[in-house]
Amino acid sequence: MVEVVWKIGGEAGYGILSSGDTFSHLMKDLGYYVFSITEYPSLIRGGHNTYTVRASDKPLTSHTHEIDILMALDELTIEKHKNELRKGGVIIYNGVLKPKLRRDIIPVALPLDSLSNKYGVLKKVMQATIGIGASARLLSIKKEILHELLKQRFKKKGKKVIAKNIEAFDNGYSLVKDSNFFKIKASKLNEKDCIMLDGNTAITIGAIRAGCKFMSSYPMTPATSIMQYFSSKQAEHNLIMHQAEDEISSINTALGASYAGVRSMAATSGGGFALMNEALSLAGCSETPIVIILGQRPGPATGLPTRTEQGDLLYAVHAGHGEFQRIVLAPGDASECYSMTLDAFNLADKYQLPVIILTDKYQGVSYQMIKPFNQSYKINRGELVKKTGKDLKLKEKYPRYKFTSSGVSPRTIPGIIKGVQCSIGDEHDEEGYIVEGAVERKKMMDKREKKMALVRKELSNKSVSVYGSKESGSVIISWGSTKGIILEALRELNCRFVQVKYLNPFPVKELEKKVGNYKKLFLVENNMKGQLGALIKQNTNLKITHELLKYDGRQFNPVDIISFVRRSK
Amino acid sequence: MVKLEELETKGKPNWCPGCGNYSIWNSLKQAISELGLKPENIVMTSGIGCSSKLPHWIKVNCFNGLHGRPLPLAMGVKLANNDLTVIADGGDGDGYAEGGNHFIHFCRSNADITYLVHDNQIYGLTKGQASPTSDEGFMTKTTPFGVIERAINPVLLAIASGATFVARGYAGDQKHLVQLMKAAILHKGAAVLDILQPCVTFNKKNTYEWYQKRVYKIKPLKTRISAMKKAEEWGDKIPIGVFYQSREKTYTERMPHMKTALIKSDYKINISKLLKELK
Ligand SMILES: Cc1ncc(C[n+]2csc(CCOP(=O)(O)OP(=O)(O)O)c2C)c(N)n1
Ligand SMILES: [Mg+2]
Repeated sequence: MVEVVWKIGGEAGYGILSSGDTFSHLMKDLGYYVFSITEYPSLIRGGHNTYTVRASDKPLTSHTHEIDILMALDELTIEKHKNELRKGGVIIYNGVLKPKLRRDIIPVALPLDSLSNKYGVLKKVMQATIGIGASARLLSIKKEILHELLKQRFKKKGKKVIAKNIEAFDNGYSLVKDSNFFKIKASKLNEKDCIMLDGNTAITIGAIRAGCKFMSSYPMTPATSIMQYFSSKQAEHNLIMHQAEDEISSINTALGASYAGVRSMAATSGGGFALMNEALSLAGCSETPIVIILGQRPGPATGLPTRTEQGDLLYAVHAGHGEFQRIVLAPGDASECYSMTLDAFNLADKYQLPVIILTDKYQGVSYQMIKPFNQSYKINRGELVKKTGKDLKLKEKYPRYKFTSSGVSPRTIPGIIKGVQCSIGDEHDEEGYIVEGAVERKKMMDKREKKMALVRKELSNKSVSVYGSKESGSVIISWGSTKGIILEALRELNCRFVQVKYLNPFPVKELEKKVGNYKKLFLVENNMKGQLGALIKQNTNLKITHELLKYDGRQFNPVDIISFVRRSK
Repeated sequence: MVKLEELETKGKPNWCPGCGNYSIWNSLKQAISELGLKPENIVMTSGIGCSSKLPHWIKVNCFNGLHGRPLPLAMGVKLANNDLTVIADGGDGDGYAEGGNHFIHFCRSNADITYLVHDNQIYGLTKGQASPTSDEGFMTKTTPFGVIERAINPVLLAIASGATFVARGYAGDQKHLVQLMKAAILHKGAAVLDILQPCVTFNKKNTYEWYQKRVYKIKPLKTRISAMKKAEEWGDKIPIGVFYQSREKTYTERMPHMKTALIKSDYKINISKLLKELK
C-alpha cells in the first residue's frame, strides 16, 4: 500500500486553502484516492489554518493522526504539528527559523523569503507553491507530469498565473535532493472517473437531482457552502436561492414555496436552526413538506463556529413546541449525503412532514473521493393532486386535511381549479377551519400521528447499516460523520460496527436485531453527553458497556477508536 | 367580474360587532370580484391576530401561518409560482412588531406581493396590549403609565425601505378602500396598504369618530421625498390614499436567470455535468 499524508499550515491569508486544494487535485490526478480536511478558526486574517491531504492507492474514508510531510509557513505551524510527524517524516520550513526538532524527523530548510520576496503581496501564497514543488520532489513525482497538471488546474486563470506558479514550483523542486522517502508514482489506478467532493456539495447535488427548485437560507458555517453551490447552479437548473433576512424568514419562505408546490429546503447550523423551531412546528401542524439541513458545529451559543461536533442530535429529534411528526436522518459519508438527500425529499412529500438531515462541519467540508453518484431516481411527490376531480360547491373548500386510512391527505396546490384550499398552523378541521373542540382536536392529532406507522414501515430496512465482523462480540454503535473513522479503525479490529442512519422515528427493532449478540457495546459519539446513547437507553433493551465521547471541537482519529476498543476490559 | 357569492365560504367571521375588519373583508371581496381574479389563482398568507383570520372567510387559497410571518410565506409562494396573485395579510402587531424585520426586507425586495395591514393600533386577539403603532401616551393593559415609545409610522417606514406602492386606507371609507386595494393588487412590485381599522372593544381612543374627524384624501406624491414628508403628517389631520407609487423591476424581474416559473420546471434532471466538474 502506498500512502502519504501531507499537511500545510500557516495564517489565514497565506493561501492555505487553495494550496491544499491544488495538492489534493494533484494527488487525485496522479490516480490516488484522496481524503482532505481543513481546520481554521473563525476569522479572515491571521489565526492558525491547516489543510491536510491524505493520499493512498486504497480507498480512504477518513483522515489520520500522523503526517509524513509538514509544510510549515510559520513558526506556529512547526510548534503545533511537529509531533504529528511520524518517524522519518519531513518538515519543510523557512530557513530563517531555527526550530528544535526531534532527531527522527528530517528537516528541509528552504530560503523561502529570498525566493518569494519578488512576488510582493503574493509572497506568502507563492511560498506555499514553492513548498508544493519541494514536496513533489520528495515524493519522486516527475516534474513534467506536475507541470501538465498545474497548467490544467490554472487554465482559467491565464498564462501569466500559470507561468508564475510553475516558476515557484520549480524553485521548490530544484532545492530538494532526490530521495527515497516516498515512492509516489503516477498510479495505475482505474479510478480516474472518481469524483472528489465534500459532504455539503453531495447534499446539494442530491437536492438538485431530487427536483428541489427552491432554497431559502441565511449564511452560517458550516452550511453556507450549500447555499453557495445551489446559487451557482441557478441558471443551469432553473433554481432560486433566496438569501433571507434571518432563519425565521428562511424556513417560512421555504414553507411558502413548498405550499405552492415546489420542492424546497433550508440549510443552517444550530443557532439558525433554533430560530427555525417555531416554523418547524408549523410544518408539522400544517403538514407542509420541507427538508432542513442542519450542519452541526460545536455549541452552546456561537460555540466554535468553524469546528466540528455532533451536539444537536437530541435537539433535532425534539425541536419545536408541541407534539408533531418528523423524520431525522444522518448520512455518514459523501455517498450517503447524496443518496439520503434523495430519500429525504421523497419522504417529506409522501408523508407531508419536515425532514431534517443532520450533518456536521467534518463531513460538510472534508473532501472525499468516491465513485460518481447513481443518477437513477424516481421523484415521488406523494398525494399531490394536480386535478381534483372534485366539484367544489359554492362555499366549499378542498378538504386539505381529509381523514384517510393512511393519515395522509391528498393535497392540492394553488392554481388548481376546484382546488382552493387552506393550510394552517392552528388546530383545524378537514377544510382547514380553526376548531377548538376536544373531539376534533384529538381526531386531527391522531390523523397526523397515523402517518408515522407508514414511515416506520418504509424505513424499517434502511435505518441501520452493519459493517465488519458478523461474529464478533464487540460492537461499536455510532451515527453520522464518525462512520469513516470507525470504518478505518475496523481494519485493525475484530469488531462489528452498527451505524444508525435514521434517528427519528427511532429504529428500535432494527437496531436490536442488527446489534444481535454482544459482549461489549461501544458507544462512539462526537459530543459530551452521549446523545445517541440516550436514545438507545430510552428506546431499546441494549446496554452500552463503554462510551467514547469527544467534545473538543475536533473529530476522532481512527487510532482513538482502536486504542479505546483495545484497552476496554 | 367574479360573482361575490363565488368568494363566500361556509365559515363566517367571528369578529366583534362593529369591528373595522368587516369593512376590510367586504372591501377585499369587492376588489377581487371587480378585478375579475380567479379564486384558485389567488393565495392569501396570514399571521396570527383577529385580522389574520380574514383569509378563512374568502374562498381563495390560504396559508394561515405563524404570528409575524405572513410575508416570508408570501415570498415563498410568489417565488415558486410567479403567476399567482399573492396577498399577505395581518395586524399591526403581526407586521410591525413580531414581523418587523420581514417588513423592511419585503419592502426592499420589491417582490410583487400585496401586503394588507389591519392597523387598529392595538393587539386585538390577545385582548388589549400596546402595539408598535399605538399612539404615545396611550393607556393599555401593558402600559399603565401610557405608551412611552414613539409610534412606528408604517407609511414612512415602507417608503424609506423601498416599497414601490405605499398607501393608507381607512375601514370607515369602504368605497375608497376598495379602490386602494385594487390599485395595490394591480401594482407590479411590493405594495403596502396600511388600513386604519377601529377596534371597538380594545381601543377606545382611536375610534370611528376619532378617525372620521381626521382623515382626508390625498393624491399620490411625485417623489419619494415628498411622499415621505407627507407621511410625517399624523395628528389632527391624517392623510389617506396612495402616498407613493413607481414602477420598478420586481424581485423576480431582477433575476437574470429566471426564465420559467419554478412550478413549471422541467423535471428531467440530469446531473452529469455537475459530476463531471468534480472529476
Ligand atoms: C410567537 C407568538 N407570540 C405571541 C403570540 C400571541 N399573539 C397572538 S396575536 C398577538 C397580537 C395580535 O395583534 P395584531 O397583530 O395587531 O392583530 P389584531 O388581533 O389586532 O388584529 C399576539 C401577541 C403568538 N401567537 N405567537
Ligand atoms: Mg392590531
